[in-house]
Amino acid sequence: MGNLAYAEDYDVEIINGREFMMSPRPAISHIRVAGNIYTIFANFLKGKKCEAFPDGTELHLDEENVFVPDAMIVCNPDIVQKQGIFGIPDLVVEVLSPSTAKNDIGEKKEVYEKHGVKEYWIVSPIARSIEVYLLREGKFHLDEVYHGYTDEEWADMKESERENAPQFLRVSIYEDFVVSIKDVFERL
Amino acid sequence: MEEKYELINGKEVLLSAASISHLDIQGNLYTILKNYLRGKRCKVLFEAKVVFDNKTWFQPDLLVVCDRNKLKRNQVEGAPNFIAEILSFTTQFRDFGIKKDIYEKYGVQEYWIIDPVARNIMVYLLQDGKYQLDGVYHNYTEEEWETLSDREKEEQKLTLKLSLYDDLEIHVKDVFEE
Repeated sequence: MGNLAYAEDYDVEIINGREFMMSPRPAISHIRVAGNIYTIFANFLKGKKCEAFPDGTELHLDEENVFVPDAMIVCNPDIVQKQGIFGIPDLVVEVLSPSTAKNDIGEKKEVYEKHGVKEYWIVSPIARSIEVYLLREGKFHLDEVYHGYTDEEWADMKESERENAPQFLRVSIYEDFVVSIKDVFERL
Repeated sequence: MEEKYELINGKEVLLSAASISHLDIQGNLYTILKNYLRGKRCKVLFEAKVVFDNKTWFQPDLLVVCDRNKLKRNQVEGAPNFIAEILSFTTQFRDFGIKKDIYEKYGVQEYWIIDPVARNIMVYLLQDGKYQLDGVYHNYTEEEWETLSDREKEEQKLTLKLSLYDDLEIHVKDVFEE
C-alpha cells in the first residue's frame, strides 16, 4: 500500500484503493479554468492563514485515497508536507474532463464528503458551469449552480432571467471572499 | 399560450421556453424510445404531468411508465420507471437538487440528467432507495476524441442501456444528433 500511495506515475490517482489514470493531456480549456481559479484563490489568500494549491498537488486523504485535485484551499498548515497535502483540505475544486467526469461527480465526491471537506466545486469548462456543494451535518448539499454566460447568451435572456442568474460566488471560508464567475471562465 | 409550470412543495414554478438543442435531444430520445417500445407494455411520454403528491407535480422532459394503472386521463399518478430531464441554465439547479431528491424519494428507478451544453448524460440508478451515479456518458466531438490516449479511447462507453431492458442499446451520438 505504501508504494501505491507514491505511485511512480504522477498521472495516476488512487480512489478507494483502485488506481485510475488521469487524463494525460488535458484540454486547454481545462488548464485555463484550473489556472484561473488558482489565481483567484492565491490573490485573495495572500497574507492570510489559508493557502491555495494548484493542479499537480498530491492530496493524501488516507492510504486508499490519493488524489490530484485541480485546485485546493488548505487552512491547517500542519497538513502541508513535503510530498503534498496529508489531511483534509477546506475546499476542493475538480474541473471535469469527459473521460474522468464519472469519478469527480460520483466516487470522489463521496470520499470528500466522508472526510469532511467543507466545500466542493465541480467545474465544467465545456458547459461553463460551477456546481457548489456545501457540507451540512456530514452531507454535501448542492448550494447553487453558477453559469458563465457568453455575451450572446446574456443578450438572449429575459430581464427576469438575468436577475435570477447569480454572477458572484461567495466562498464559505471567508465572509468577504467573493469570486466573479466571469473571472473563472476568462478566455473560454 | 398557456404558461407551463410545475408545483414543488406547494409552490408554483414557471418553466421557460426550451432551447433548440434541448428540443433536439428531447425529440431524439423520444423517437428512440417510442420506436423501441412499440407493442411493449411500457410507454414513453414527453412533458406529461406527473403527480407525486398533492404538493408536488412535475412535467419531466421524458418519462417511461410501465404500470398502466398510473396513467390517468390528464396525468400520470405515481412514480414512472424512468425519467430524463434536459438541463437548461434556468432549471439546472432544480434538476440536480429538488427534483432528483423527489424522484429518489418516490422510487423512480432510473434518472437521466442530460446536459446539452456539456454534451453529457448522467445516469442515476436507485439502489436501496438511494440514487447512485451509474455512469457519465459524453458525446465527443472529433477534436475532443483526438486528444484522448488509446487507452482512454478504449475505456469510453459510447452506448448505454435502460435498466428496464437488456436489448435496447442507445448510442450517445444519436441522443445528441442535431
